[in-house]
Amino acid sequence: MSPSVETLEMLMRAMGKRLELAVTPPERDYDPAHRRVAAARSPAERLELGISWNRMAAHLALAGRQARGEG
Amino acid sequence: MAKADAPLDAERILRALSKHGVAYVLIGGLAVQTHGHVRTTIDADLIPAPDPANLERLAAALRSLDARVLNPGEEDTPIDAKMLPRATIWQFATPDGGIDVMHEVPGGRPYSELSERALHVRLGEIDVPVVDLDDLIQMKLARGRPTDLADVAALTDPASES
Repeated sequence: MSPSVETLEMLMRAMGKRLELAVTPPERDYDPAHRRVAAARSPAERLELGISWNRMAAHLALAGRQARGEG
Repeated sequence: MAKADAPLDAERILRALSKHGVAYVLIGGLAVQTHGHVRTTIDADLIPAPDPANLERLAAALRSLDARVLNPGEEDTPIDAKMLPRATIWQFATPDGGIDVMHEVPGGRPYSELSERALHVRLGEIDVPVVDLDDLIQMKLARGRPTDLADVAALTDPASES
């Protein structure tokens, strides 16, 4: 890790501060409710749905690029 | 054609692999989806059985999908069983989306063990061997990109359990 925790602590002390480390969950980029719904499906259903989402997402991305005149 | 230009039609890719009798384990985004994280992916990642006969079948499947090599400097390389072992990772573009063929993945077990532990998923009439969840998590942790770590967080999120 760069800088190391020791180096960071030393720098903080030199600045008259004290280093405190805290752990917090990051913001999720997904909805846990969607995960719960997915968990209730069988792996085969999840794969099928994933395949259709990928297809739809790619078509939407392409349509978006075309609408923006990007090709 | 860049890799992301062709919408991924993973079903066509998986059907071609099945039709040619390719032995493989599906990893990457499609495996993440199969294990329940709701996100999208732009390519199909797989680890093939390394024996020459299987690589011959894989090369035939890739040719049937009109695959082109994307590895820099290898764009004109014809796809056959001899070229496949030459690189750890081959990236292909096809009209049905990208395919990454990997012989080794950091954090991954050898193919034989991955295959033995794989989850077998029925997609219509075909069998899709999907990497075991714990093996997938080990690979993602070893890779360590932000997207890999986000996948692990989602796949192991207790708030997502029903």
